[in-house]
Amino acid sequence: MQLMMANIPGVSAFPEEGNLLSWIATIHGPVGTVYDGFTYKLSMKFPLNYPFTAPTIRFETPMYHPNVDTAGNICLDILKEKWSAIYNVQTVLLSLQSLLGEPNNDSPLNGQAADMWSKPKEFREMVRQTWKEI
Amino acid sequence: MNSYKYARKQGTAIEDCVQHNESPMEQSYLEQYLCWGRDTLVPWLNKVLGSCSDITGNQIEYHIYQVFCNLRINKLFEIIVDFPNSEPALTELKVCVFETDRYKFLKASLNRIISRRLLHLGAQTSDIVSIFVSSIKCLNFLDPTADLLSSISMLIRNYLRTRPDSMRSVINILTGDAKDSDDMDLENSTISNTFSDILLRNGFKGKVLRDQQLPADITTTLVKIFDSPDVFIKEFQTLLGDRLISRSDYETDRELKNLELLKKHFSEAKLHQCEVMIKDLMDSKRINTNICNNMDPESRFVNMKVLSRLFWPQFTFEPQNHPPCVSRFLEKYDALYSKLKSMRSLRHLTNYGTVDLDLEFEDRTLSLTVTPAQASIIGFFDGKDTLSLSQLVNLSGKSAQSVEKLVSFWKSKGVLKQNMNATISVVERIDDEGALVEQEMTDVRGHEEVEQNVEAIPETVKMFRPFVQAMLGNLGSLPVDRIYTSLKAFGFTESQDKLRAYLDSLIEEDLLEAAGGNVYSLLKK
Repeated sequence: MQLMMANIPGVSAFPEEGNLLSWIATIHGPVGTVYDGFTYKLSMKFPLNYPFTAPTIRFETPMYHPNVDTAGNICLDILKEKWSAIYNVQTVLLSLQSLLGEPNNDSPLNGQAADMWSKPKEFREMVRQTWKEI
Repeated sequence: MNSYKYARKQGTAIEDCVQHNESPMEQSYLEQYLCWGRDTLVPWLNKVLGSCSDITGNQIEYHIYQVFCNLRINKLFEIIVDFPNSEPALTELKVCVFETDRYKFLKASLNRIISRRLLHLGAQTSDIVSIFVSSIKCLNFLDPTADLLSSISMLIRNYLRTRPDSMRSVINILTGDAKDSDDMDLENSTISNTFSDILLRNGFKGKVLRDQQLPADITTTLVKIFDSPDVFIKEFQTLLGDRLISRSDYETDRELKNLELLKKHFSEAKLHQCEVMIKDLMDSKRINTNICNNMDPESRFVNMKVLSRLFWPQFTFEPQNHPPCVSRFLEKYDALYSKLKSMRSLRHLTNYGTVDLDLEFEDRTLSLTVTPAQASIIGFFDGKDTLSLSQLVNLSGKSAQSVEKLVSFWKSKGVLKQNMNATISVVERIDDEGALVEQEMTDVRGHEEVEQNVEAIPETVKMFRPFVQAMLGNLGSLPVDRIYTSLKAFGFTESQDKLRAYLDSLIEEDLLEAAGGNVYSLLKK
């Protein structure tokens, strides 16, 4: 509710029809990164004991990123072992947005992308090729 | 030991029998099983176990009572809800409880059942009150000492006090079907001879105390929910006033009956005001007939209720000018009243009551029942075809906002229409003008309509802008009714039409686009 009313630029989320535990979120690529200009859709599934357990978040739009695998699964510590009940939809989406600009190349899910991170031009081209409207 | 086991088995069998029956609450079985136990089971056990049997008829009987007691207590809530259909079951329960001495168990289960099944957020206040009434009847029958009742009424009372609408529900129950409080007397109900013998033999404490402590009466118990009877009477008075005013005739029989019923429980002095209110209505009937007879026949179209200001709940007085035809009549009425009752004058509360209107147009007539304010707006168009909004404001003496609201009411009825130059005129012929009105209302992008709506959209709708944005941004394009249902889940209180108007205004702002028909989506930039 807070997020829906807050209207933060770049991220937004909304429950799917008839199911408050399943949301669809949108992240705009941060300006100045290789993702600038692209919009990504994510699905968020909340467990029944949320916020004591992290929601399951996946990229629905194909994503080329060192910490995202080809199925859209995300490797981010706060969604796994460092989850805390004080996080909410808004903070999680903002962390994901910042992850786009600052990937953790030490533990990549997509090794090719991690290697390519140092060459922004080629990387941007890959991002452009991967991105597909859904 | 063995015999006990047999008895246990029989107990289970009895339980199964009763549970498998379709409507076990409306019939009584206890007697049947007692006979069976005495005549079949005991001789059979004696035969099978031979000399080592130490079982007696009493033991079997006790066991049957026990099984029945458990069964009926498990179904206690259903018994209460179905009362008086469940009376046989209740009688059995009563007998069993006293035979097995399980009074405390009954009390504890009752409290548990009530707090678990009745006093929760999902139950409506009116249901709680009506089940309370039904349980008062049941428990008076079960236990005339009112000990059981007082324990649960404490629970229910404390709960009802937390609900804001409980007072209204109670008054509705009390006045709504007044016969409830009459059929309190259950003592003559059909308890079969065997059972009444048992009850007499046991001489349980209720019988002894019967004369000293009357069974609780429903009205008193309900009124006791609220701290003081004064609050209750005040609320009753307000409700009574509403009902009397909203009636278009002078019928008071029902209210009078309710009042007499209440008089049994409260002192007459407290209900004095209510009595005056009803008497006012009766007087009004006479005065009104009298005045109308003294008037010329064509102006006998208004009936008034003359209320004594001091005895009625506070009224809101809204100043308002009337169309000439009406005010002429009101003055005449005033004059005749002063003649009839010297030294008294009338103050017209024209924001109460209703008006039956017959509107005649060139091609059609309309019959409507509307509020006086709505009627007077249309009255100003008598003899004139077109008026501007500011003229209407001057004529009616109301604020521009409320005039606008009244005009839009008539627009929705297809009686008035807004012209290009912001004047308002009457739709005389439906075939050429009416089509236009309809088109204006359905064409969501009709320029005029939108422009008008932008002014009329309240802040409560605008608040939902980021919400709509987030929803359409994530879910793509959606039809209006989907948006509406989603917003409603988050506290959106306005109508769907208001939402549609707002969405249309967002299209004007280049935020949304209409993707055909009722479907809206975010404008891609």
